[in-house]
Amino acid sequence: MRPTRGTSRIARRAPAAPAALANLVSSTAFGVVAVAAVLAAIGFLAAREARADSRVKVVATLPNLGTIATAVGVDRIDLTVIASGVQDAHFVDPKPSWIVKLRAADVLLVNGLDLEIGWVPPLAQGARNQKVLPGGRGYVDASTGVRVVEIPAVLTRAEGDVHPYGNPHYLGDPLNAEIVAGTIAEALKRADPEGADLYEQNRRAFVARLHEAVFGRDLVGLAGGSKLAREAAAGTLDEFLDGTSIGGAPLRTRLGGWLGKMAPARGRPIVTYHKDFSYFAARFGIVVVDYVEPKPGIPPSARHLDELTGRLKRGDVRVIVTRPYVEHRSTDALAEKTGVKVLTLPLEVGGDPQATDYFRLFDLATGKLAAALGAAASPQAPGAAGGAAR
Amino acid sequence: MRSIRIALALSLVAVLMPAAIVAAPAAAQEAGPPERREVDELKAEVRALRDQVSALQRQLDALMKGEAAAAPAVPPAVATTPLAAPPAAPMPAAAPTPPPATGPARAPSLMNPAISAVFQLIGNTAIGGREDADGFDLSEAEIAFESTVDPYAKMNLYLSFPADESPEIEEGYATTFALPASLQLKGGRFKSAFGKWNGLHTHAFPTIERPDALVNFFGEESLANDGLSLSWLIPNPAGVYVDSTTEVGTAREGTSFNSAARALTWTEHLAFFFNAGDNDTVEMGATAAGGQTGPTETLLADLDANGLTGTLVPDERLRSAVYGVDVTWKWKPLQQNTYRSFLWQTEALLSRRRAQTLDPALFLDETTIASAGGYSYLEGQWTRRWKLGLRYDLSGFPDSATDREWGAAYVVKFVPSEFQELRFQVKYTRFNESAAQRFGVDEDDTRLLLEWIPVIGAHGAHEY
Amino acid sequence: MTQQLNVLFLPFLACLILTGIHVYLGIHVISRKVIFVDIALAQIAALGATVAFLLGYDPRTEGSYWFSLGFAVLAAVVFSLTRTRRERVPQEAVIGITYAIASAAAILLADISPHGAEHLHDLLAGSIVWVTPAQIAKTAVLYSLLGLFHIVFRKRFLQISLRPEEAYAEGVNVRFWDFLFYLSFGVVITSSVQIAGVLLVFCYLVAPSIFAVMFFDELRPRLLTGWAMATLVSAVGLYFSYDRPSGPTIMVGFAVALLIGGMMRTLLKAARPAQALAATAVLIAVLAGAGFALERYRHPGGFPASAAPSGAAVPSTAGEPEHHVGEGVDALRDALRDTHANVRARAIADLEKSGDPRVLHDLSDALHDQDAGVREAAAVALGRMRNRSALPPLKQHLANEDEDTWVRLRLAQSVVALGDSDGIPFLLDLAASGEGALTRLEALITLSRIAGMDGPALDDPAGQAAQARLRALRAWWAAGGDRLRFDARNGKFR
Repeated sequence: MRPTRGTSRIARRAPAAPAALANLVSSTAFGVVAVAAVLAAIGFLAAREARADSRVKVVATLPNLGTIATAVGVDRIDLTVIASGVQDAHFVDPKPSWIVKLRAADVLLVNGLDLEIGWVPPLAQGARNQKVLPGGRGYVDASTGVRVVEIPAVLTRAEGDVHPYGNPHYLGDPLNAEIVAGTIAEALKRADPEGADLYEQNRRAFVARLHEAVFGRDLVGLAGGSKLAREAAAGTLDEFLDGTSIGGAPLRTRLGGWLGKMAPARGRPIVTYHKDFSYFAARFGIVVVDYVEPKPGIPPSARHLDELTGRLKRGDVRVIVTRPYVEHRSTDALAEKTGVKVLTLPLEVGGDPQATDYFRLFDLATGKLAAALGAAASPQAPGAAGGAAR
Repeated sequence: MRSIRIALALSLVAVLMPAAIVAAPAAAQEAGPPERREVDELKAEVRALRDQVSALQRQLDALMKGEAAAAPAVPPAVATTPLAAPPAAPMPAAAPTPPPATGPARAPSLMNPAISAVFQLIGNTAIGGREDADGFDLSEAEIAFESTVDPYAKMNLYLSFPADESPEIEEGYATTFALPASLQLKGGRFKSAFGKWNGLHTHAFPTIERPDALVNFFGEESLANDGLSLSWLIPNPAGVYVDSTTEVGTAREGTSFNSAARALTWTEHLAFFFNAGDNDTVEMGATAAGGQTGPTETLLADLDANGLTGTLVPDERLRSAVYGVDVTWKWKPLQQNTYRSFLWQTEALLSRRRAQTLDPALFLDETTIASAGGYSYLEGQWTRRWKLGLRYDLSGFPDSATDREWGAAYVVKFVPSEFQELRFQVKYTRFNESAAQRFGVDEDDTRLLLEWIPVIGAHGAHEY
Repeated sequence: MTQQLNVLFLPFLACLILTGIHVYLGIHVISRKVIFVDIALAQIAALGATVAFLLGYDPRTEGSYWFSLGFAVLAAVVFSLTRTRRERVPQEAVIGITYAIASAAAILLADISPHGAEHLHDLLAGSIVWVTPAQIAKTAVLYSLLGLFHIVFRKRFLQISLRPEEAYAEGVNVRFWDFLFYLSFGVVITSSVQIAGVLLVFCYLVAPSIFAVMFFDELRPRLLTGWAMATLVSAVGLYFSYDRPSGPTIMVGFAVALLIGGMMRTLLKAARPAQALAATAVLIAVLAGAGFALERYRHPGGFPASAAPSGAAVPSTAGEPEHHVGEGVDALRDALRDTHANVRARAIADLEKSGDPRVLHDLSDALHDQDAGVREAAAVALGRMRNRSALPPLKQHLANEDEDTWVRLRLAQSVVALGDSDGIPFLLDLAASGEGALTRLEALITLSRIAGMDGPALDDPAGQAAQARLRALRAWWAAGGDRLRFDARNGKFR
């Protein structure tokens, strides 16, 4: 038969040397490599420049964390916040552009409790930066030391998109911001030991301002902010305020700040869209009786909306609290049918044009809620159940 | 007599002792705890009751009377929020083993990898055209494991269980976390970083099946390598995401690289990602893959027809290269990204391969076959749970210069939750004459497909 | 289970040591037919401890021991003197009345101190569960020495106990040997009472001996039986006493054992065994029936339900482990290491209520806690425990100037509550310039109370009355600060 292994009549010509070079240069692969080399040179120069900036590069996942970090770090840090205040923190898109920021980051500040489990791991794991990985020296979980509520005893997705480690929206309780500020200050001191004194000073200033905002300047001057904060954290604030008197009146009469503003609304029932109000409600004494979502992450069905309408028509719940990133059709429909007021409160700083920092965020929330709930009580429900003597 | 007495006595003792021992604690118990402890217990009880009463009072004041808001747990002071009703997450009542303060402490299997499982149930029926492949089919189940190995690397393992074939490892690789110079190394078996669609797993496809171009160029499975992949995030002063991924390995299958000799395949992929405003992102990429390929089907058929199989051994090491370009545009409004979005993704592929043909003189000739293909996919979402997609396919075949295929698919997707998806798709495919002849089919094929994809377990985050 | 055994191992060792010497002494005591002497001596030792407590020596300290011993020795002298040959007044009567007087005196004295009742209870019931290795070691050494002493002179002791006539006839100085006997008796009882309490000591002396005497006449079998029975009952009693006071449980064990022994003896010695057996069976049936009847028909307000040994728990809605009073000191001590500050603070409050002096160490450590609320709770708790051994850590922390005003306030308040005037200058300082009007007011009120200054209620720390009071207090302190003495009855300094 015919020849043979692998030979062909048109023999493969070994190209002559210069032709080979021409082939090589013109091949696409070479082109790609050349482009890459040019980019590398540019990158190298860029990196040289970046090193000159000695600020601590902090990347925060959520705006609330970012605002506290700014309060503690001021201008010693270069802050980038990934999520926007109007976004749903569960569903932030892990755009690769954030990887570039994380590559250069010294500190990654996360909310923790698996709130960002859907989008932070691909970013952090792709960032080629040991510091921002869990366990890395720049990885800061802001939930450290916070007392978490609503840890499910039985973990199953039949209950919707449950958070296995408990409710992660702990910054709804302003006193938790004190703990978070401490955690951030420690992290910044580790990353930048020279600024340790400044961070500590700023932390104290933030905490002092927080205490005054929560309890009112008057009460803080009487009893001391840290004492009030720890009584509140231990759940014994009511005893303390009612049981201690000065000037002939119980301390409760001197309560101001956000707690004082919300005192007439204590014990009032409200409905929220998602289960992200628990910490705020617990701190300010409001009672969340139902949710527009039948289960976390499950949008409301017609049947559930009917049930809710029935519930709301009883007249004791006067407010539905919803968030800027949530659909309005359900809440608008409920408002129309039952006359309850729908309040869109931002969860994060930046979720509303007025909520420019953590304090303004709570000013806004407490102001709106106190106005809506504390207003002329409906005839059936007796007045301020919280017992704020005036 | 005395021995009987002794025996009786001992048996009585044997009966009494246990009875006494059992009765003694009961008696002692009824004697009650010492007063001091009792008072303390009572005090604690009173305190707790007082808290309960005041909380109940507040609730009662706030709610309409007679409203048994089935609030199970009335909390102490300001600790937690009582809930009325929705079939609430079961709250532990006086847990004898109280739940720990931090959740992770409870998981005994904290060191276990994140495990998830997914399957696709695909129903398939032809409306006109090919009548084969009708019916339902559990096309594939996949089990995924992911975990951190140590501070330096993580591992992903995907086991694929096709319904009627033997299970195989779809992907199994380790990825480093933090090599210097913005490098990342991946090693194992992984889907090649060619374009955007190739790396997706079946359950994550935007449509039910893969675009024809990818099937024709890379085979039924995607282009996958057993080898190494080095990714370099190129630093640049603009701070733009530029990534260069270089892979080297042994390709597993695919028309373009189906060399029987286990030849190395390399791939180089360059990706650029831009933010165009808060809501829009654009990604552009260029890929080149090169390797070796074996004889075409036509050649084998010809050899067979001429009885030359075995005598004339075709070359298994013919050069083959595939080049691709991809563009993706995503629009996701920040505030409403769960409710509205828009995606447009296009890929174009070009294949250039050396192939041998049998010329009439029964010699083996070598030629270069160039063919192109691609797809364009448009998807829109206007409400939280529904998406619509439209895909246009155009594909040649790498081993033939003349065969062509067009297709169009229209898909409707319903997503009841993050963990489940239902899809309904209509697909129209059309071959040109030579292709129709080659595959021996009718020219057109219209098909209805239905798919249901549930996911269980700790499914990791998806890439953007 | 293993934890139970670990916890009970030390008490079991203590029981063994007690068993060793008490059974021996008990046999002597029964032979002398003066049963009451041991409980009388035990009560007198307890009286000594009560007097020591009033003078400021806490129980289970060295001072308290010497007081007890002193009283016991005194009693020993009295008893040996009153043992007359002719026994006009039976010695039993003398001993009996001594016991009664000692008990009455102890009650009266205990009434003076606010914590006296607890202290008495403690002495009676004992706290064998809290015995420390140091105590066991000391007691073991002491008893071994005494045992040696008695082994060497056993013949003499046995003679004066069992055959006193013979002793008198031989011209032995019975009184002297009696005194030695009672002296060693007194030492043993004093040491035992410190560990096990009056009632249990009495039990160990008497019960095994009775049991042994029921069956045997010779000394050696009696000793062996007594030892065996006491060991077995101690083990069983301790096992069942995990959640209950151990002393009384062991005593119940002895009672049951004696009952069984009695029944056995009756059966063994009965002339008509069948009748005896029937009678015993009837007795058991009656007792069991009574027990069941009690159980079924008891009034609901009667005995506390045994189902809930721990205090009422508010159903935990997750997030925070609830702690129950009465759960056990060890669990509370674990809670002191919890990561959440308010869990630690609550554990401190519960530990203080347990009244267990061992927790003083934990509370002193808690003064170093990084959370101010926990430090404050620890300072308050140490003051409330009324145990002066807390003074050194309190004063040290006071000197260290805690950064939190309220912690400093509590430290100073606790120091003065324990009777040390070193806290007064700190209180004066806080009253003048403490941060927060409330702290200044509290300091002022505390100072006024301990200085015995009355007047209109102070409510405004910046007001005239308050300023005047502060000046008066300063003057009071300046005048006699170094000579102030603490009056424990009303908590004032004068």
